[in-house]
Amino acid sequence: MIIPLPHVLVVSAALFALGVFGALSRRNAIGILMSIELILNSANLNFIAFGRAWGTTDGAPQVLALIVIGIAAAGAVVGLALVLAIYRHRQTISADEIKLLKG
Amino acid sequence: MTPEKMLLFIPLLPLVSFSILIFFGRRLGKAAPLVSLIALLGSFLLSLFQLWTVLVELPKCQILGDQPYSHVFWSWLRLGEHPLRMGFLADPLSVTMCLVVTGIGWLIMLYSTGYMHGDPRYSRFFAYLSLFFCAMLTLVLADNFLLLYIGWEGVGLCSYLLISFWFEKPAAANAGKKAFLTTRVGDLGLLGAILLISKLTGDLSFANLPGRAILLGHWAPLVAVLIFWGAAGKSAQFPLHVWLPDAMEGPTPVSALIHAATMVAAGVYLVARTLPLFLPNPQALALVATIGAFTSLFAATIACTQTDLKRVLAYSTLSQLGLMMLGLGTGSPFAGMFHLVTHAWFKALLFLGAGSVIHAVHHQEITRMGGLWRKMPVTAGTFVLAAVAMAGIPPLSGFWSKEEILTAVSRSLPPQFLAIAMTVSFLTAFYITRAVWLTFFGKPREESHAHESPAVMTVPLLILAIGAVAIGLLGSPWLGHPLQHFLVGNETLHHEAPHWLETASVLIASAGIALAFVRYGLGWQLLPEGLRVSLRPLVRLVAGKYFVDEIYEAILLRPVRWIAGRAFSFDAGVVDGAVNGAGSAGLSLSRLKRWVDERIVDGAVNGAAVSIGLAGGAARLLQTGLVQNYLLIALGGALAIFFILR
Amino acid sequence: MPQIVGPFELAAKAAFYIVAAGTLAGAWAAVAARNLFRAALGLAVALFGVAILYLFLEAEFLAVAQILVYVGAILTLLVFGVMLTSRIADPAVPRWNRQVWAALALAAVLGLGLAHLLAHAPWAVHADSAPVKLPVLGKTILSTYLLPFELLSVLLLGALVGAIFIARKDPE
Repeated sequence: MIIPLPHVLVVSAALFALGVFGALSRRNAIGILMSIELILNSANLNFIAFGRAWGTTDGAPQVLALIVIGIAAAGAVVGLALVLAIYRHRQTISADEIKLLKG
Repeated sequence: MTPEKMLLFIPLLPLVSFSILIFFGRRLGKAAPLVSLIALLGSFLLSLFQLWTVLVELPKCQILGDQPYSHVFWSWLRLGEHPLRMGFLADPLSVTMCLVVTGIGWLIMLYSTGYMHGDPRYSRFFAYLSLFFCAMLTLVLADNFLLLYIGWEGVGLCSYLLISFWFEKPAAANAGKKAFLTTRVGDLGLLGAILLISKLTGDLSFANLPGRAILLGHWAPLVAVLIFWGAAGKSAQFPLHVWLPDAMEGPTPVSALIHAATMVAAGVYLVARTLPLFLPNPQALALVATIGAFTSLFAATIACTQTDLKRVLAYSTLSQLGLMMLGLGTGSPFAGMFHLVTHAWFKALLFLGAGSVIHAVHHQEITRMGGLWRKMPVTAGTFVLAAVAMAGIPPLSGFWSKEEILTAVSRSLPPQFLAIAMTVSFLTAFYITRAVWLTFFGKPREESHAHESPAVMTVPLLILAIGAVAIGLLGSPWLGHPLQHFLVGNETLHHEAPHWLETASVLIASAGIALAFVRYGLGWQLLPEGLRVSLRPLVRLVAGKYFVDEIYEAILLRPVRWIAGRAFSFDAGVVDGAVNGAGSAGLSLSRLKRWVDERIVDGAVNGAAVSIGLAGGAARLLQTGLVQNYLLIALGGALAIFFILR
Repeated sequence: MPQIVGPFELAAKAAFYIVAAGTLAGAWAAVAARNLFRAALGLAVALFGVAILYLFLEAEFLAVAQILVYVGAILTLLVFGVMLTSRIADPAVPRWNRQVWAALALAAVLGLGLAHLLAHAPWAVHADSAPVKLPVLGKTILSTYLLPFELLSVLLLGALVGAIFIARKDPE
């Protein structure tokens, strides 16, 4: 592999950090969902990078990554459905205005 | 039961009567007096028996007080080496007193059943009378100073109880207080004498008094004076006389018994009994005589001005007691004692008669009476007899006893005393005739439906009248002076009355009677107008009892009351202050405790709750409801754990 | 991937870094853009970039799958969602919530830490092995990882049903 592994890992780490940042500080609920996708992507990238670096032969990392993508899709679906439902009731999708669980 | 042991019962029977009446008197109701009458009758009969015993022993014995005739005693205390023996003694002196007390007392008690009829505290009256008799008989029969003092105090108490018997009247209550307190002043003297005798001679009995007098040494005059001071209190001599006129607030039988016949005579008896202590001290004797004479004259003048029938008799009693003291002051016990006996009879009769009158007309002012002899012949007749006896007209009793005194005075004392005694005689005749006339004779000044008293009251009057008339004969030369022999024992102390003296005193008495009759019976004014007017201030002085009471009030009573008031306010301030202080301290303490309880205890409890609430509130902040917050914290926590574990 | 040697190596490396930078830029836009549509586009760029990175890492199938699913489906969905719900670019609405600085700090620490860790860890690298062929991948899915595969389909079904249920209009 011509690209050294640490470099790829740094990229995925950066993606992860951005995703975390966005998930924690975005007000818009859909924005949060987007950030979560980024996080998942960074994990996938890690998988693939390590798979390539360790020379796996059965393609297990790819399989894993595919499944993660599938899960991400499911999560995005349900998340969007929730966002739509909330929007219908409260006319807002700002995450910090939805605090019914406040103690 | 020997004669000696019977002595105990003489005071004991009235004591039993008292106990019964005080507890069950109410239930007995009208029958209550029966108990006391029976008891006293028993005492009288026992006294008679003692008389007989003494008479039997008489030839064997010597002078008064030297040899006990009938004596019962028992050991009471041990004071040092001398066991204190208390007992009862029957000798001529004490037996005479016993007979007078129980005899006249019984008649007065009988009279009271009628006089006190209808009183709400009927039985209590007879209970008190019984107690009085117990105390008086103890006093008279005592063979030593201490027992006599016990009886002395007892009669003082009963006098108080009986004077203020109708205590609803403030005057009566005050009179009782006054009597008690005044005699108390005198009692201090007697107590002092007893203490001195005990300390100096170690023996309190009446045995061998002449020897004891020597033992007392230079204290003897003081002891004698102190004894006389005590006697002066009880027998109302100046200056302790002020209680007797006020004591007339009590029921009339009380006045008759206690303040005429018996209790006031106790002082005379005491001096007579302890005369051997006086005889070696001429100054003490002189004091006795002087005070006696002064009191006698002092009281006689006041008696001439009084308009309350009982007051006249009260001052008359004072005067006669003075004469008795005068008689004793000559050194002759017989002079005083003889007059004591005769005085008891006619004074009791006078008082009971007055009671009868008061019972009939319901007031005591002689100026409102008059002509009562028609309505109350028995009362009037006996009263007149007593008056004549007191005035000293022979052959009635008063004459003989007064003669005895006058004789002794003329022999032993300077002539001034005789002059005073004669003047007193004159005045006595005058004032008693005045009282008699204004009460019973002349035109009635007021309409009254007076009537003669019931038999239970008139019969004692009659019996007393017999006594008033006849008793003097026992001491008269006509019968050979049996009383003198009995009391005094031998001839040397008795002297025949000189004839000139006898004549003089009869004349003086008659003059007094005549003057009174002229002034009040015929209504003639005795003095010219001018003189009468100028003498009016003097009359006012006399009528005002020489304002002795007022002087006492100013000099003694007011300062004492002031001190008492200061002491009371101090006591109230300090004691009440302490109590209130304790109370308010307790209150403050409890308030403090409440504060502590509220602030600190409750505070702790509440604080625990509140702090939990605060903690909860703080913890609650974590529950923002914002998922992103949770996520942040979760990640931060994971990071932290990672760093820690690394 | 054919052997890359010589001058292609340098070009390949340069390409990698460019693509990586582009991915991160897109990711930043996805996270930070006020205009949600732009954020969605940024996300698309990032996803594309990741797909290309997969190519660099000789996972061709995955790259295609990534593009098909992520960009084609999920992103579309997100765009739908954006269109349906938000005021696209409202200047008055704040972009960040209150914990932005804490999040920034945390993300920075996290990122830097991770980067440092991953970069300096002594990974055992077995380079130069043959890339995986597609049939082998297919076989792996349907043999070793059959269960997760089936579960995934169940999960997708569940998500589907659930989403429909959640997002339906309330029955009148």
